[in-house]
Amino acid sequence: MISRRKVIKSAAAAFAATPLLSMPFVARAQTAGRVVIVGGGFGGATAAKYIKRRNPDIAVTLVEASPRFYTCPFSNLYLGGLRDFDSIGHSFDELTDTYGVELITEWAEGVDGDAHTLTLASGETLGYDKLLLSPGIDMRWDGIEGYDEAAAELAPHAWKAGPQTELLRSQLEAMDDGGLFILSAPADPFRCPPGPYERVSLIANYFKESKPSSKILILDSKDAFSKQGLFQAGWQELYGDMIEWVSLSNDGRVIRVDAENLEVETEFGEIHRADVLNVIPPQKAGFIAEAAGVTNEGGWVPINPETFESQQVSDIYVVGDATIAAPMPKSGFSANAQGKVAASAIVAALTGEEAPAPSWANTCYSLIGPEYGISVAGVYRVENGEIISVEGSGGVSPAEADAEFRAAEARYAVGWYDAITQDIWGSQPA
Amino acid sequence: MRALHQLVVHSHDRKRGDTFLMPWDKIALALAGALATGVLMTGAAQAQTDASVLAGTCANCHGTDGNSPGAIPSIAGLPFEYILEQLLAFKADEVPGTTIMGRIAKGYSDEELEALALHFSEIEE
Repeated sequence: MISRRKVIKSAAAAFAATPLLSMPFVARAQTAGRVVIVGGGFGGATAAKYIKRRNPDIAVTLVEASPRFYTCPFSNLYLGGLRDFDSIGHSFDELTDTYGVELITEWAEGVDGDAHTLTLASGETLGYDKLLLSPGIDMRWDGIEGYDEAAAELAPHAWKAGPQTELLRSQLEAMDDGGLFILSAPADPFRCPPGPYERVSLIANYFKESKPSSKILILDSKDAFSKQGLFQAGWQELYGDMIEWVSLSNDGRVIRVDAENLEVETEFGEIHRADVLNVIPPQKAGFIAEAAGVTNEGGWVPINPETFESQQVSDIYVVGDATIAAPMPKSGFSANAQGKVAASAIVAALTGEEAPAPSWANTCYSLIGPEYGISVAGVYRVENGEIISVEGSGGVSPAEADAEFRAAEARYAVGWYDAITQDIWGSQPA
Repeated sequence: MRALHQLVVHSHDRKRGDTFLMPWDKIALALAGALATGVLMTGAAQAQTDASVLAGTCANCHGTDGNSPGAIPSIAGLPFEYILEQLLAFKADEVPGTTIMGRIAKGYSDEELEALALHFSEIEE
């Protein structure tokens, strides 16, 4: 890892040693503009790479607190024992070494939109011409009574990949056969709409192999979920009656958590006791978005769909789960697609050109079993100032499909992960 | 065909410069016609669609520039005619065993699919 100071120092040394060669580079970098990006995930790392690909003379600084980024996509495969944790971690080496992105491994703490500065945890400030935030989500710790950060150490959310994910896996491993795993799923909108249902699928696959008398209960704060028909048919086919789903209307909404006793209480007073408890709480845009003043009263970020620039603060672009971009889902694929559109808009703005017309697609693969994949796809455009799903495109996998079709989609799910992590971080398949 | 001319001209102006000479060859007649009727000027004035922006989301499954590292086929450097034929066949649900490309190809006009085919045919494997 190269610290910012080291980069600056070595640049200065190079300047002193070979002024004739360095000077034009420095001058060019200054005129092309400076972009600061917060968040090295699916949106931010993509934007960093694609800004550099479009115009290498733009100075790009990426601020990311973790030296390695662990993806929520495919963390369910880790939870189900199908992958090791390392295989979902990605470095920033390609961005720094191949694309010349400056990496600062620190938390961003504040933004002054008028002064065009970002403040880091160290107190250092960075100036920018354009700021791009890809902050992901934060949990609403006031969303469910009793579920705060301390409770999450006993009943993990595991909805940001990292120590929480490893904690949940260790609890599943330690659970006795015949135990009950409870997952509390939030109301819309939240990160990765099919994620909770893929999670229970792959945990069921693990139970089926290792702890076959165990049960899974999903307590849901909504009455319908992504790819519901396909998930429920797949659960029946692969896992019989191991998985039970309780909808909002059937008293599925968890209103209180007692993490010490692994108990949850639903709206109408029923108490459920788990052996392993996974609470996915309500969410909002990541902290730095709020600090920058780009969130609305609902805690999410309204953007101009043509460019993903904030509607509230100019020269700040926001991509990914933090944004209000429906009908695009809050997915890693969407964040990547939005990062590319924002990158082209930023490059155009810095060179005084009009942003090209945006175009996005999304594909969310989910694994119901290691050889049983399903998908939902969409293609999106801007029409009359709003993001729309292109008529006649997209949709879910067919309800009637043979085992070969499901196996092909499972292979493509892995192919997708290999491709998108190469596209973003330059990673090679595990 | 008019939309395609706009896309092609735009890509040429912004990105790839002379590397576009080869595919231009393939559509030289069409371009000559466009020049004669002044479509190119209209195209330049409305240069809004950028083939590299359209192609951006393809990379999510097919890898950066269409060079796939995994189970999903690479599309970089395939012949223009082949890519276009495949995309149009996906759109028409005429490729047996297709899982997802039919659902995606239906989101693009024929002209956009041509621009995408041209874009990926020009990239080195």
